[in-house]
Amino acid sequence: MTGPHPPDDQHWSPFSTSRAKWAWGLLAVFAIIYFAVAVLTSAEFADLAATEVFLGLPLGFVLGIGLIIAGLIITRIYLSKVEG
Amino acid sequence: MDDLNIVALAILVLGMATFFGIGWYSRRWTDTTAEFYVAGGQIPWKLNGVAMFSNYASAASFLGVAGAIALFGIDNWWLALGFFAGWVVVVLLLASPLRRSGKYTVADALQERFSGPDIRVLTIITGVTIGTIYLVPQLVGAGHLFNLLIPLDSIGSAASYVFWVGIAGGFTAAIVVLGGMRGTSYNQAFQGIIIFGAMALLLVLSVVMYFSWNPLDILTEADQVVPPQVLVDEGAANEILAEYPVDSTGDQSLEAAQSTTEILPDEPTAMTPGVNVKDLANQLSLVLALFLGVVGLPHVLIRLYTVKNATAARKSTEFTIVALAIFYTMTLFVGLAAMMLLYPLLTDLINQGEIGKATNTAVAELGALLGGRGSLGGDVLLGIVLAGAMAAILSSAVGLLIQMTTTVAHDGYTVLLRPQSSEHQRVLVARIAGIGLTLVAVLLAIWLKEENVAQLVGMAFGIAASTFAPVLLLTVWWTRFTRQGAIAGFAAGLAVSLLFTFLKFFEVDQFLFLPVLVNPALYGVPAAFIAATGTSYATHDVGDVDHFMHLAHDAEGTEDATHADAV
Repeated sequence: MTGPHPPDDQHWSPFSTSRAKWAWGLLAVFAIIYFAVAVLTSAEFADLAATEVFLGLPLGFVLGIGLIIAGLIITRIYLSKVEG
Repeated sequence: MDDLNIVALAILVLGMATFFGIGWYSRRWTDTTAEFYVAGGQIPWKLNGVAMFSNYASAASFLGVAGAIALFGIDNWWLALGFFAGWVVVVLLLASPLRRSGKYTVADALQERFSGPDIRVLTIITGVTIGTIYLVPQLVGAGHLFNLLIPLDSIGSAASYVFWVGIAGGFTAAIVVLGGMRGTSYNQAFQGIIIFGAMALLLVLSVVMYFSWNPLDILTEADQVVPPQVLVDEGAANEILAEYPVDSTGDQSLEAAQSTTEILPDEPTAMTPGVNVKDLANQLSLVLALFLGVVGLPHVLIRLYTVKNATAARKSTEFTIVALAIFYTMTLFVGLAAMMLLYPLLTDLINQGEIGKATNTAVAELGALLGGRGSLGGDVLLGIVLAGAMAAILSSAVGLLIQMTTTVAHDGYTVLLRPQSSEHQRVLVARIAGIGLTLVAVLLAIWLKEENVAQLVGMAFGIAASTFAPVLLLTVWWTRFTRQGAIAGFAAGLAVSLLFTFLKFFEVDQFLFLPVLVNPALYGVPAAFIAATGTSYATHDVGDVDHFMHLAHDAEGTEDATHADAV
């Protein structure tokens, strides 16, 4: 390790790798799903979350299961990309 | 379960003796600091994945989530979803870079970019603060839970609580001090199997015995049941309690539960969101804390250093994500099954104002019911559930203690105070630190006996999300991030999150026109990011950024040429 380095535009950026692009792209998708479900399951939107959508099950439950499945799929996609 | 149950107690003691035995057996591998801190980086990734799962699935997950679902219905499942989601962030953004750039602790990774003592001091303070705030509720929970389930009436309730806190603390210290990270890892893996197996056993027995071998029947049946908390709130508890005794059989309880929609036809069911939800600001604060909190929990991140390379760290993390996904799905089904099969009992407890007891004992009571109350089978199943609860408490506690021990001994003693110290001295300091930190945590757990356990754990997530998470993410991903920005981010996040934590603690409703929320993350996270980025743009010391970025992101394809060799 050396001393302080001044900031400039010459540093190698981790965003130049495809691994980083996949990581942040997949995170964006997952974050949208996660926070959408979170907002939907708050008091202000509880009526909408209670809407029955599939086999008589409420939207909130379906989205919760969907979030878990999305997390698993996103993790697998990412690992398959970075491990070639 | 108010009387001492010898069979259940024997199973619990057998489980704890095994935990101690594993720690004792592992003491031969604790002679060097690398072995004591991170098991020499030689834990197989699958075993590490089970240990990570166990490390994370505390009593709040094992008993609390399913218990809360049993009382309120599906709304209390959200907490479990948040616990799960944070791990996806870890695997996408931090698992590999941290493993490549660190050696023993998160502070090592930060120091790889920003040398000097200032940031390491901040990581020590923050790491020990988060670890303590997280460890104390584990011990408080152990004290309350076992005081409730196995009360030692002869010495009085208060002394019984102190006894169980001491037992939990003593076992935690013994496992860490004797076995170091290797003993901790083996213990956590064994405990993870117990936690997962106990939850799966409860689900399978419930489905086979009461729900026609079809788990989906639990959901459809629950959609015809009003949660017991709603029944009590609406003043209709006596309509159930007058007809069904608290020790009803499973079939009687199921019948009682199914009659509730006739008693209260306009009320929400156990599958209807809206029974126990938070307002938008509190909900956002909580989900933000859970989303980023895992990224900032040092006792989770230290497990990235116990495997040999970044690939193994990623595989461990994926293993944990899959295990958590299955586990938290099971908690929903088990919680709903407990609601329906224990309906009169839960209604009676809530009606008496004993909501905490109802929440914490629902899973254990379900075990006793499924095995046959008063029979050997019931006692055995109760014992297995109790062993699972103790495993959940201890696995998180040992993970927190080994992280704090390593932080104090490695980051504090070895790096800052005595770099010339011998291996023997360093391991000795680690052991002394382990005992000292346990004593502090036990005393705090006795003092904070009446505090809300879930609130303390949530606060630990909020502080972690406001401190380590922003600084680590910016260090690993932003080339323009500066040393001063890191310090400002740490300081601002810690100050704001602690301020709002204590404002909540003292029941202040508003501060500077801002409502005080249950979790501090909604204020702490933005404060940390704004301070960190703003200060970085005003300063210039970006540290050894090129070296760090190449190391952390494997820019030259040297996947395994990392600190694994050094370890």
